[in-house]
Amino acid sequence: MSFNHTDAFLSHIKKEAPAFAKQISDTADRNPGLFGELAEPMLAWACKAIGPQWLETLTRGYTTFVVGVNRSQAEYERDRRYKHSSYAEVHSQTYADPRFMNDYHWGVYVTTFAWEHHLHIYEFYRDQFLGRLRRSASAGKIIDLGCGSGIWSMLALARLESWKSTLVDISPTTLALTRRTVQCTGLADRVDAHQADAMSFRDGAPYDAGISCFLLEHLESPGQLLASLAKSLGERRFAFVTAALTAAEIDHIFEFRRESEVVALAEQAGFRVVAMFSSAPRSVAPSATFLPRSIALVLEKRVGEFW
Amino acid sequence: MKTRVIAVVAKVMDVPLDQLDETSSPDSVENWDSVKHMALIMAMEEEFGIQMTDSQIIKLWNVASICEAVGQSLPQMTD
Repeated sequence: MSFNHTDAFLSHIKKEAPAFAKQISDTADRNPGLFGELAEPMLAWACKAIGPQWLETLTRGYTTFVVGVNRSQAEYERDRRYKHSSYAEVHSQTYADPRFMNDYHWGVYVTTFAWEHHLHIYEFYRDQFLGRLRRSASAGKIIDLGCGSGIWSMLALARLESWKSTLVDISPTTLALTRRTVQCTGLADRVDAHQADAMSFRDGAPYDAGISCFLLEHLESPGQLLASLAKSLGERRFAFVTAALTAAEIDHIFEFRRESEVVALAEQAGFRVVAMFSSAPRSVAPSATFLPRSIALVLEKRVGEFW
Repeated sequence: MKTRVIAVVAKVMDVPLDQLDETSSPDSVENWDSVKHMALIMAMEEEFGIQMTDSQIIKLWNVASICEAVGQSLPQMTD
């Protein structure tokens, strides 16, 4: 019988941080098939990439990340605005701090399957985006702007055997961890990673598909990122874009309040929305003003039609 | 101090006082998840005028450990 990484992780986090284990167990219990489909390969990849300390590293990363998120959200409820509004304000205490970024990297990684509303975004991604890519071409190349852990590209390449992906991220710590993880997935020969600014990266364009997940809210001018993504794609090509709405984190600086704001930016950048999914946690405090949630869009690059 | 800590836990978790003691934890209190955990910590910080670090917060796993952490932040306090 093979080692089950999911059982090992759930058991470890329940023992070490029980208050943080409940949400993950609930996600697993309510979505057994989907949770296993995503959690097991992701945890197996992380185990290989991190080594013997993988359980401790993932648990520390996830719990530290969740503490930061929940504290930020409570402050947001009190202040009615995100704490920071410029990249310069957050850079030194986040992206330029290797210790912060290490915990952040693995914390975000775990939320992909641990948070139920993120798990459902994966389901939407698999069905609505990867399904479209598979039907559109047998092979192609993806640009992944602000790749973070690279998980969205890795999940794409695991399903699209003849596709390749170019990963771009500005954080050297994140990119080093991502390169190591990619080496452990068996996908390394179809990935190339660049430390660069996603707002201006154009090498290798035009691409056959684009990904930019949970980057828009980290930017002062998210419309520029969408415009950059549009310029990188060929005509009628698809992109998958996500963003956080009324969801505070220490490095979220652009406050989206409505789904329509993200849609409008995508349309202004030259895209047509072909599928959209707004995903929120199952429950929030009754007294909460804000519903922290995520929007996922499948976009098609327009050509020259009237808009 | 223990009495004040338990009173805060009861309020945040919406649980009757007489159902809580030093052993109460996420395993015994249904509402005690990661969101409530942070709400509890912030309520403790306000109640006692302290600031807990992330590493402290993660290790708090029952009422007794919260009392201990608060006590470390306020060593002059006694029950």
